[in-house]
Amino acid sequence: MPGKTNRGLWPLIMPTFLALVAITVLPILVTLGISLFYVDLTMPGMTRFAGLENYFELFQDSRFLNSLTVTAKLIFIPVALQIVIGLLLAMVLKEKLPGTGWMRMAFLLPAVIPPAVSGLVWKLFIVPGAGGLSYLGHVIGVDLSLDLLSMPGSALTLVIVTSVWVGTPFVALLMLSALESLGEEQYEAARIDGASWFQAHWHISLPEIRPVILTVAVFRILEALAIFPIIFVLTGGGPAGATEPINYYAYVNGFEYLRVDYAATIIFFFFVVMMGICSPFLINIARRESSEEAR
Amino acid sequence: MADVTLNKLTKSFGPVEVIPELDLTIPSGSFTVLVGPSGCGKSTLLRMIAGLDDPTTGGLEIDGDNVLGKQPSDRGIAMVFQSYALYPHMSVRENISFGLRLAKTDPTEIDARVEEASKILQLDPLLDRKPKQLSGGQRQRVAIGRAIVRHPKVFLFDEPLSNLDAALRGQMRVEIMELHKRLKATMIYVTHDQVEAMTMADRIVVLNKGNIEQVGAPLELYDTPQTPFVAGFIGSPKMNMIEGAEAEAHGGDLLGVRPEDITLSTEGSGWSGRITLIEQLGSDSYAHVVTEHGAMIVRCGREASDWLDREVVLTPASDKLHIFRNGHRVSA
Repeated sequence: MPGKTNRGLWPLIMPTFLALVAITVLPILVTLGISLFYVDLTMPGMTRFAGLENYFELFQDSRFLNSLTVTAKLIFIPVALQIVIGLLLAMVLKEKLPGTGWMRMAFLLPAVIPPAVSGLVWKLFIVPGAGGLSYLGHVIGVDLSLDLLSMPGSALTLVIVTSVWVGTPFVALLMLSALESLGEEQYEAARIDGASWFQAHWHISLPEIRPVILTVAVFRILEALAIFPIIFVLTGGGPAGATEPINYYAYVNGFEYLRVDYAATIIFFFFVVMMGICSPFLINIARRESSEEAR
Repeated sequence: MADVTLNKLTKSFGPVEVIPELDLTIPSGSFTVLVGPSGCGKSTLLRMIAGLDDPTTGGLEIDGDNVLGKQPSDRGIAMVFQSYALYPHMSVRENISFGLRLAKTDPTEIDARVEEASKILQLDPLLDRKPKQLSGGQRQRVAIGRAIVRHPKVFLFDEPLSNLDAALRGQMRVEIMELHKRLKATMIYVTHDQVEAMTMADRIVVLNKGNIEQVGAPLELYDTPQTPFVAGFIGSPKMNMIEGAEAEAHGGDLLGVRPEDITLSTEGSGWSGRITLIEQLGSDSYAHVVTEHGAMIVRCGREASDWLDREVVLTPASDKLHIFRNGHRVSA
């Protein structure tokens, strides 16, 4: 469509555009602004421009560097597990075996439970000596009454397990709809070509739904730190920062230490890193969608 | 080459019986067309032969081997689907060689077979393209190529030309017939198009509601249909059917006569009627006539266009009448 014709559409686009700017771009710019100042909430008159001081401080802060490592673990391990398990579940659900109808509904449950409630459910499950895990251990004759939240390794594992538990069903449903959009005759042709169930999925499903897998992975990465409530309820970032991701550390700085400027620095730094990682993929997805629309 | 034997084969989907009980032998090297209206069970039959569906009861042999329970890839068959069923992310070469690669065939052998198939189907310039870069006809040729490289005993075609336009359909018909002549393999071809069946088959199996109505050579079915269903299904335009006293007068309860076996004139003795419409096909013209025995279609010359809306006389060739009683042919 020529540019001249498009100009008349601006009034229609403007409200949405302004709303988007107000709820996304503006907060980011404000965060950037705060990060460049020294702000002490207890002494409002002492606010001064600090330049990149807060950013220099970041790289000397061992707790921040630790939170970076934890963040990487809490993003990539759960997302990888969600994709793999979600894909396997989708492949099984696609077979329309007996009982898979209600299983689809059951799988949705963790996705609709608020994350804080999920955290509580898992916390109750692992209460040493009283939770479901201890009972399970008792039933099978193994002592499982350990305090899993008191050890860095097991606490991190538990947060990852909870995150996978919460995120996998939604991934599975997205994968399932992608798989169901593929023609059944392709699988039949593959059977005639001698492909087993697994080979058919490996050689046909995976390459064909690769764009969907990539899109889901990118969005799950962007959403991965939405497990904040789980950490808040389950571990509080401990023990000894073992489960403290970058956003939790920013929360601690902003709301416990009242260092709003440093919290803003952490968050803006994290925003830049995440955009750096995800932008190429997001641009790719947007291009693909617009080329599909044009077709 | 191999013959295919279906022995008391039945198929039900839950309470719905699609194929009641069916016995059929498809001779080795034949080009057998399963034809019938939608829902008659022809595709179900083909899928059972392929191993994509299991029969409810009965036996199934390919080249003398009981293949029930065997995987589709172990039956010595190859199948060409209506939707082509190509793998969109693979090139033409990869599509054709997929089965061979899965079977861990020697790469030299794979190359040789792909080359052989692409030569037969003129796919050489297309081997590195993806399916979406091909036309419908080219896609179908790739699907056939995928079947050829397997060196199957039996080729199965499930309405392979239905997605093509009329011109391409005619061209692909000829190509498949030439392929049969060249490979001399047993081919089983499912279609609902009786023109495809008549032109391609050396043997037609007419199916209706899961039952075989008649098996025979195309002209045998055309000239001596054994049931009113076959008489009506084979031939285009359809055979004219007359019930009542006229049929009784010829010794049956249903009298059939093909459009080309009726002479149209403006005087003489025969069935009287009025021409309501004339279809000009160029080579032929068909007059739609409302007669005392109901609506009929008659093949006529171009001069008939002058007779539109006029009273005419229809004279059937007495030796070309098809007489049926209780659903079966009574005349030779």
